[in-house]
Amino acid sequence: MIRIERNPAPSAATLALSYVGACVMGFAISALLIAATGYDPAEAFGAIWQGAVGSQTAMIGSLVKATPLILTGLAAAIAFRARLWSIGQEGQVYAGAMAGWCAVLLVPDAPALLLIPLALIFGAAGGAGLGAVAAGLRTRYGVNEIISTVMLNYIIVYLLSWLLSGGAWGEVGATVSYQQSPPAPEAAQLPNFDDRGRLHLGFAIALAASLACAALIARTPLGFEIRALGGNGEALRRRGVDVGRLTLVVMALSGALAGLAGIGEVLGVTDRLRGDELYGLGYAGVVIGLIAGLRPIGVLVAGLFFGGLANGAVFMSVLSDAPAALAQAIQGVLLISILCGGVAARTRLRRTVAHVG
Amino acid sequence: MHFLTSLRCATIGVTAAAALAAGPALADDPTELSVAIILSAGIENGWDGSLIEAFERVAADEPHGLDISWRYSDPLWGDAAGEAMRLYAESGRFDIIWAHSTYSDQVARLKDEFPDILFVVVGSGNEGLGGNQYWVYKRVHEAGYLLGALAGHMTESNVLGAVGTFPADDVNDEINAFFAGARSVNPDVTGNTSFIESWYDPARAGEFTAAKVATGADIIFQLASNFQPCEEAEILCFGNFGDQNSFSPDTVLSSALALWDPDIRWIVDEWWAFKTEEEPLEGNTELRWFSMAEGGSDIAPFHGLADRVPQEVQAELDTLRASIMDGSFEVPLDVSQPES
Amino acid sequence: MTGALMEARGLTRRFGSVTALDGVDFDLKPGEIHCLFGENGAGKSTLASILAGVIAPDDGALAVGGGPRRYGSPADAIADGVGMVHQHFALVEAFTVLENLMVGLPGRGWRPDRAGLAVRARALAEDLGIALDPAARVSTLSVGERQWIEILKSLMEAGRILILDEPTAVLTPEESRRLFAMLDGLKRRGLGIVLVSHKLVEVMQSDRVTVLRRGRKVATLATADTDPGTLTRMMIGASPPPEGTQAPRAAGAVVVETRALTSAESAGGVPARDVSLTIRAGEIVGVAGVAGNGQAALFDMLAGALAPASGEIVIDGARVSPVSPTEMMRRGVRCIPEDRFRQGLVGEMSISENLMLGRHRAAPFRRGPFVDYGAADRVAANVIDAFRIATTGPQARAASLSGGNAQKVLLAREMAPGGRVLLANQPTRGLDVGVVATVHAALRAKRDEGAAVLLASEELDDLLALCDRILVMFRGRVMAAMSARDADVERIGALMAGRQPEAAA
Repeated sequence: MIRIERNPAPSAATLALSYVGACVMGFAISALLIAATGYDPAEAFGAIWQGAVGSQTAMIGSLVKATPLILTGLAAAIAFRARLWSIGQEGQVYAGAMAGWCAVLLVPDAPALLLIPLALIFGAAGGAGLGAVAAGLRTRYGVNEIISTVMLNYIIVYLLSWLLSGGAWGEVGATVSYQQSPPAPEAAQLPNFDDRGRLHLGFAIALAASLACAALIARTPLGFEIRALGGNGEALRRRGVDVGRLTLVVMALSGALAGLAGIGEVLGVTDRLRGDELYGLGYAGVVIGLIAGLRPIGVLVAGLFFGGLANGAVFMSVLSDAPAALAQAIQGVLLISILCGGVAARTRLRRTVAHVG
Repeated sequence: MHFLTSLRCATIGVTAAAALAAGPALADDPTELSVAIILSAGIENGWDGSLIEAFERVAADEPHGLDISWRYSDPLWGDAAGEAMRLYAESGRFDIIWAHSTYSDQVARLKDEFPDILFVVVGSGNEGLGGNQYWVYKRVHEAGYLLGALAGHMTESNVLGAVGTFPADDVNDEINAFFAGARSVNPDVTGNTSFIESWYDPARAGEFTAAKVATGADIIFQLASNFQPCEEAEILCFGNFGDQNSFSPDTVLSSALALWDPDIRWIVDEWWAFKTEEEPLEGNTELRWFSMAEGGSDIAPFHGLADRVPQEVQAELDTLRASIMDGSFEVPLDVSQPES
Repeated sequence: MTGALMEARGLTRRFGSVTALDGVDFDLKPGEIHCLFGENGAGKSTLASILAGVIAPDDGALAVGGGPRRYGSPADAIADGVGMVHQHFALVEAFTVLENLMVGLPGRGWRPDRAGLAVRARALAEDLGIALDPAARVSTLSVGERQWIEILKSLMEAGRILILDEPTAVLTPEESRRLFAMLDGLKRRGLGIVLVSHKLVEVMQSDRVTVLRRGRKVATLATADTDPGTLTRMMIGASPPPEGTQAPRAAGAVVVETRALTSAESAGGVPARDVSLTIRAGEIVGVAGVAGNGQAALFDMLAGALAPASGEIVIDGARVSPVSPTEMMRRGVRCIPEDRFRQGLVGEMSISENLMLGRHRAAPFRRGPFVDYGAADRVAANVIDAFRIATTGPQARAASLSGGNAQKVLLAREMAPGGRVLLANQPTRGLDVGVVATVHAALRAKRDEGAAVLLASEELDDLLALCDRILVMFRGRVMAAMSARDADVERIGALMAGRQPEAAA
């Protein structure tokens, strides 16, 4: 007889095998899907590969797309590790973008060396502030953080929409535009690593944040408390750790990471404040955090993977005949495959022999 | 995309036949014009669909004897659109990159790197960069005014509704004109407007439209492409940019049509001058739009609903349209945000 | 072996690297109570779960009524007439007794036969001498009454073999007596009863006993042919550690004082009402009472986990405000909580991490800005040795520990230097003789160190063996306080039941 059991602590090899298997499975299902809709899988995958890592331009595009995903993925991973089910990354991305933009508006003529750090700090603080609000609602009034963060997402997204369309922050003048601010001053735009001005400082921040989060979780007292809060908050509380304060710190930290993703996009990619370019980054982070098994280094890998896939999708829709909707379907299939891989890694089959005597 | 491929083959065939008939063109002049189009919502959407239809008409007409072919993208936005434009530009296969919405930020990063490519951005929210970026603008407020006059006659509740996308300059103009047209024939008309704050979100559009119906509106100017609530309430509505009667033949009485033909011809002429007369590309930095008289807009036919329009209303509408076309009446342009 | 209701040969079951059950033989005759006796983690529950089809053996064979069986689920076992009553009840609180009985019964047609079932349930209850209202909501019933429902449910579903896993762990002594009276009745009707227990008193009431140690069977004996001493030696494989003797000591200064300490009614459970007590350095104060009479609220307030509604807590002469776990920890209050896994340990974390919990920001667990996990492992290795914790090592997850070993981890953590007050609420509940002795030794050691110790236990033996003074709690109030030397079991028993004996001071 074969039984299915939970395996709470799978080995690294088991994990790696499960995820590689899941990816192979996902690509196989995607290939069937592409073929079934009448397109050539080889051509489509070729285009995705081209777009993900096929050239320097493509790789840079992938890294640029991975940047916000890594940061919001880390934001989700840190909060979920503490079993704080914050879905507020979406709003925190917007809050970070808006707070960072405030810094730009505050001292628009400051030199880059002052303006950029200031904008980044404001951005992180904006996201952190929104996270702290949800933490406060939870510890003070017992409001479930899932509900509060989703509500705050709506509030903040519409706040930005109002600020941009109401005119306070919106672009004014002959072109009469909507839902976007004027361009950021040159000095506020994040420095770039490539000559075409695409790969921006935000990627370095995302990379550093991944390593810092990994160290935080694995080595520091705060990381220990985060894991303990996730494991059994009551035991932690009874051992003298102020769980309310800890919740605040975790939510603020998570929010700061998401906020950095927001201001990074504004000053590194769009060079102006626009809502639609930020849309969905936070929710994508939730998914990235989950498929990464809430491990910071896993988030880095998953973020790069899905960044490459997103850039590959653009190439596919331009270079092959397959529609971009198919690229989204492929992303979805891969996502589900990897999530299943995660479950498979934590499950094992046991053969049990029963002799009848 | 099969549809497009076959279309292109057909174009080539027709062009070849026409070229034979017209005799050889000048040896050095280009015979082909290849356009890459970046769409923001997809061809099901009136804004994008009407462009492709106009390309088909203009291509069939072969300006300068050119064989015009095009390829359009799936809906792309922001950085992804910039990426796609770069791919089109780097491929060297395209003469014009027509970015059919707010893309001047992306064009700004590419236009100097590819000086031989003519970039087009369209509509409000863009920046007039000049040089090899051209800025196409579309106003269909004259058509809106005509539809408003029609609605003013037809309404029984004297309540009209409009569901818009964003309160943008080139959306406000037609909604304001719609209500102005309605009040010009029926001073009792009241109406209000909602914006779904998205370029394309049929679900939200449906909710907002249903809300309009609930407040007593019996004719809806639907700029957000969802006619379901009108069908359910069995009321008439108007479509926008494309002739959207086929979406809902029993409810869409007419549509404000965006006709891109003069815009495309203008751009093709500019490109032709650049290629054959070595005129520099000097894109407009101020708005340029074509009036109804110039063929830039119109209203769609009534199709199966023609008998719902009384003859005297039809006659009055014809007179009004004629006065706009001959310039004796100028539809006022009001781009302030409509009251909700 | 003919005539056996159930027979098992060579049952083996592994959990990861741990062999919980290793080649165990077992048989059950009709009309007997067969007790499974052993330390925590000896394999009693694993064996019982296999017999009831809850888990499958890796190896070995099972026969019921002479026919070979391989149970895939408890439903297969129930179809064979084998029912199990678990330690933790699986009742739906919002349902009535009858509705709970209906859950899981094989239905005929789509509509359960409510009326017929009610008649059967009432008849069976009367037969067993239980007064039970089928229409009563489970949430209104006492723990004991809930167990009757579980037993009734098992009997209605199965009816040939009844397996009970530590059934008296949650019962009052009176309820335990009634349970055994009922089991006697069932036995006479020819049922086979498997009783999992580590209490000698109960074992001695069975017909036969199988002693397990570390997953292996030590022996199966007729109970009449053995005695508690022999059984204990068999269970732990040696003589039990000697109980320390109580030397008269001079009481120290008052460390903890509560004044009219009262918890909110809304906090859940029975609140503590108007509790005033003092604990001096170097003494153990006992709290007697059936669990659920306000002890939890009292201990939670003293540990800072529950804010008092009124009254105050004074430690070392200073009023504690605000009352929080952080504040109490700072003042040296340590607590062995009532619910080890819910309130004390982080199951997903390792033993070494659990030992570090709450001390992780201080020496020796801190190295610069980081936690020194190496140091934590070394501390854990020492603790595992000193407390003889049965585990694979410092990295083992706390959730993998048996109740007794989990309690040893908690003891080690809460006894660590720095604590001046030790609170222990029901620290010996569900534990075998060996661990109980360890707990007793630890509390004595802490007392001898000069700590103020407060101990609540339902086992009067615990209190009489350890305490200098004893308080009795009933419905949240302290009924009486007495010196342990003057205490007698009869009087405490009466106070626990809420009766004020005439002689009471």
